[in-house]
Amino acid sequence: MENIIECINLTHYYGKRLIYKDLNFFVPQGRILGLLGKNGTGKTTTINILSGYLKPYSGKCLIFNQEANSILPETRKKIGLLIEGHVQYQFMNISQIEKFYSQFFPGQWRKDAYYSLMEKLKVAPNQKINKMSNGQRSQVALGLILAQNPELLVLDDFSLGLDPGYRRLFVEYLRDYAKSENKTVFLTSHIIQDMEQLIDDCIIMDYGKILVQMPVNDLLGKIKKYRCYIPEKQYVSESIDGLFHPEKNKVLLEFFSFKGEQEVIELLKKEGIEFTNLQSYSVGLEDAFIGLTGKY
Amino acid sequence: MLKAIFYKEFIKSRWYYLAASLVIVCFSAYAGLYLNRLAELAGMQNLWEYILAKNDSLVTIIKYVPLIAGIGGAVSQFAPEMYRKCLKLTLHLPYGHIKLIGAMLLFGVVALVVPSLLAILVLQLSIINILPYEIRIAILQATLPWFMAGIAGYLLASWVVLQPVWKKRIWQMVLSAFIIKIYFITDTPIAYVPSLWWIVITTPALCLLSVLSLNDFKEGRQD
Repeated sequence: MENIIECINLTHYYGKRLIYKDLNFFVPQGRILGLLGKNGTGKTTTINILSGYLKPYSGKCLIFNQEANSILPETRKKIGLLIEGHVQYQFMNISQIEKFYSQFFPGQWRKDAYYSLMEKLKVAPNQKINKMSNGQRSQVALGLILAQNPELLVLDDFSLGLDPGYRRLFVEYLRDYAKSENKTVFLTSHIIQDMEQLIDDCIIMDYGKILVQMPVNDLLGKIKKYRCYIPEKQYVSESIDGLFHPEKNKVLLEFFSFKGEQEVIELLKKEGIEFTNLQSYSVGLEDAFIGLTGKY
Repeated sequence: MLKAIFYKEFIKSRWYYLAASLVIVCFSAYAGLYLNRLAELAGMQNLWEYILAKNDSLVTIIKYVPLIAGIGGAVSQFAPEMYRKCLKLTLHLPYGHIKLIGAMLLFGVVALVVPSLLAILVLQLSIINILPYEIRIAILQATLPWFMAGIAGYLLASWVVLQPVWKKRIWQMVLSAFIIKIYFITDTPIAYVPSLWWIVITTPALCLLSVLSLNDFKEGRQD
């Protein structure tokens, strides 16, 4: 399968602050990949580098085999971009913005896709975008991307400022569109539940590095939440290799791990932790994310 | 695509440019009426003598109007682009970045040149019956640098507004102020005659400065 996006040894600093070092990932054609990470881990930085609005300190990003900061106009036709906060030209109205964009995409523009979504909003064609709610603006931005009919969609924090109804609408529309048309999607969101319904693969970022990059189904199949009881005075190290973010609450110990129950038992014994009643649970993407990155 | 970019700029700044055009033309008409009134009160001969003896064009009321209109034009066009980094959308359009910014600047320059020409025409027509050809030309030569300052102000303000780094913006504003000063060194009607051609040629070249700000934006530079 051809890779639509390839990021190779990407390193970036803001001043002296390292955002990440030697980040490597790729997005194959037809896959929906979600970039998950806490605030400040570099999600928007990655999107900015990918869309050519930030020059990385080192490394390179290739989109359709072209360097992200020098993508040819013809290639930009194949990329739909959603900026954080569903930013669009505030001074235009619904019909003006469609008329404007349509002139840049002759032969590929789907006017109907845009207006069918606008009908759901129940707003007049002369409704100005700056008079719309966040939710309505998100639909305008999504409608424009669907009308552009790009091969690759890059969406930065698509759920920002949306209520649950609009989030659900956005996710369902996007999922149906991407799957039915075999589109490639690279997206970020801070609301993990939305991602679970949408993405095929995920990258979970922590400060400065990638923690996990794998299909969501594999992740959810492998990661387990463990819970056991320990003596109140039992010391538990915060960094045990193979266990993620052990959290002790009086006599209750919780942690996450990709290891099986037997391996975890052996690991706890090796660490000298006295425990009883070890239980494992399957978790959703949000719990897996918190388990891997920690609450703080 | 050029048409589409012009369409966007038109939607964005049409009311501003309409208002600015009216102000420019009205100020010019007022200057013309003022000269007519002086001719009526003091007599045409005395008016000619005064203009020649004092080297005063008597139309300095319009001096800073094109400049202010130009700066406002840049703000009306580029501030909405910088708001929430909307410029990213523009630069993502399938069109060359230099062509994109060039088309946006061209729209603004045309939107300023048209009312400026109209204002010059209104002024010249309003004084055709009271001043001789030589004095009318001298007044034209006195006002031309001011109208060119409008274009320069527009291009320099575009350079400043498009700059994403505030520290650089301030430095650019200071430099712009020095450049603008060149257009207002003196009000003496024929003082700019030897350098008028130089002003007319170099002023449009200021559009190249916006490309520098654009590069800073594309590289993600920020404070």
